[in-house]
Amino acid sequence: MVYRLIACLTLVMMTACASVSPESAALNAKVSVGIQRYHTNITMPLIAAWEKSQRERFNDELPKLYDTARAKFIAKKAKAAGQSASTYRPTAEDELTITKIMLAFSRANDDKISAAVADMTKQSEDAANTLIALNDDVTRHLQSNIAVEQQQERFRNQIAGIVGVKPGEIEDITKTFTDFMSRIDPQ
Amino acid sequence: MPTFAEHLAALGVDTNDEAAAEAVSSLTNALPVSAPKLKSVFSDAELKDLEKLRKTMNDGTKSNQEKAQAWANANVLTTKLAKAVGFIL
Repeated sequence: MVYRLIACLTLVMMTACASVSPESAALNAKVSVGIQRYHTNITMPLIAAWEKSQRERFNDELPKLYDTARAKFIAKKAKAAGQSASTYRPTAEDELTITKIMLAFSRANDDKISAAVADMTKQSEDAANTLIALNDDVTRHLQSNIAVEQQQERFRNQIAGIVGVKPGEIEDITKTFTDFMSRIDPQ
Repeated sequence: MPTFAEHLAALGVDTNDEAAAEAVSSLTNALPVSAPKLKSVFSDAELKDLEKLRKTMNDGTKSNQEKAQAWANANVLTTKLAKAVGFIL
């Protein structure tokens, strides 16, 4: 009888606690997935679109830039040879030099675009990772609350089994007890 | 990131040559790449506040994990005790 009384009191004392829905942790974990998808499906394509626009702009401008650079190069060579630009016939070495200059220009431009893309990608990844890490901590916290509740529930059911109370009746007993306590101490 | 000058040097272009220098000059800064500046998600002050909240919450998580373990131990103990006193046959 004493054991049953102790068990019954234990049961009543431990039932009043806030409830955390098991779905809350699962839902919160989905937020991390959403953040990652936002980064992958929205931010990264925007960065890729910017990169594409820069490379297209370069390709569009290249012929004009080549013409200007070549004209300046030839004008200098012609002047050095004592000729006019229109009469000067560029040598194979001249053509090779201007090609190398354009190649170097193209590579430098490519590097600048790639560096900008890498920088933007890193910034976006860092932001996403920060949010995901914070959210994962919230998920872990919710999971830990749920774990406490589940263990308490198991304990309640064990005690209820010992006392001989059906699981559905536990809430009634708790309500009666808390009502009684609130009448004694309304605070 | 190699610069235009470094790429020229790598390709063996003599930039002391007046004609080459003139061509290079016309290309330098011809196509500036201005990457859009991404704004930070959180300011430094906000990050500090978040770290404090995060620590408090993680302490709570640790405490909960200890509680869950304690309840699990209590479950094992209760089963043993119940068996011992004959509530579970």
